[in-house]
Amino acid sequence: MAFTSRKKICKYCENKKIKIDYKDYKNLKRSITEQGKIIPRRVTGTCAKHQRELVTAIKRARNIALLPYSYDVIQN
Amino acid sequence: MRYYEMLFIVHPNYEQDQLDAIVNAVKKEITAKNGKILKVDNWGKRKLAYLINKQRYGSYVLMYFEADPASIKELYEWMEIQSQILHQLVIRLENEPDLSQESENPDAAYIRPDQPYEEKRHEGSGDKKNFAAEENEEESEETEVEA
Repeated sequence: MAFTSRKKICKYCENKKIKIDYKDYKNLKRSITEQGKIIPRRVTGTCAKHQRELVTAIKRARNIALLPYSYDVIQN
Repeated sequence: MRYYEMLFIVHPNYEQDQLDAIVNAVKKEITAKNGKILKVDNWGKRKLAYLINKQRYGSYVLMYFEADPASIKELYEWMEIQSQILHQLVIRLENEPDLSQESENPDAAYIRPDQPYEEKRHEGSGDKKNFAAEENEEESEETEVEA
């Protein structure tokens, strides 16, 4: 069946060992698109609580140049 | 007094002794306002995600400290003035920081041979796989009995 949606599971609720931290930018990289945008939780299935933490972590990482604000094609 | 965490980027031209001098200056600035340094973690030089002051690289220094909330604004303003410091991020911590880890450099975890980064992060999923494997084993046993 093509239109049945898969059951979405928050990976941070499932695995409590993963801590959301802005310093761990390699883990955060999974939650941003190729252009550097934050992937919405309707796509990833992250729960509201963890998405909020994730967003602050990504924004902090961007601020301190661990993650880019955007992956610019020309710049790279 | 509250716990704070600060990550700042030093200009790439300042290395070793000069870098230590800057770190000491920051320490002095914190302790001068009745702050207490808990930990200093030097990440070394790394590439920035984007240019800051036309610089492509920067030395990251992570610092944990205890300070009076009123002194943070002054500290931040002082950091802004310093030409050797490209950028800084000060974060208020709700709880006492965990200082057991030697270095929190996100790249150092990859270099350390005894603790592979990927395995550490996927412990949960690894357990799951084992669990699935066990289930399969049980099933196979059952089929054997039936046969």
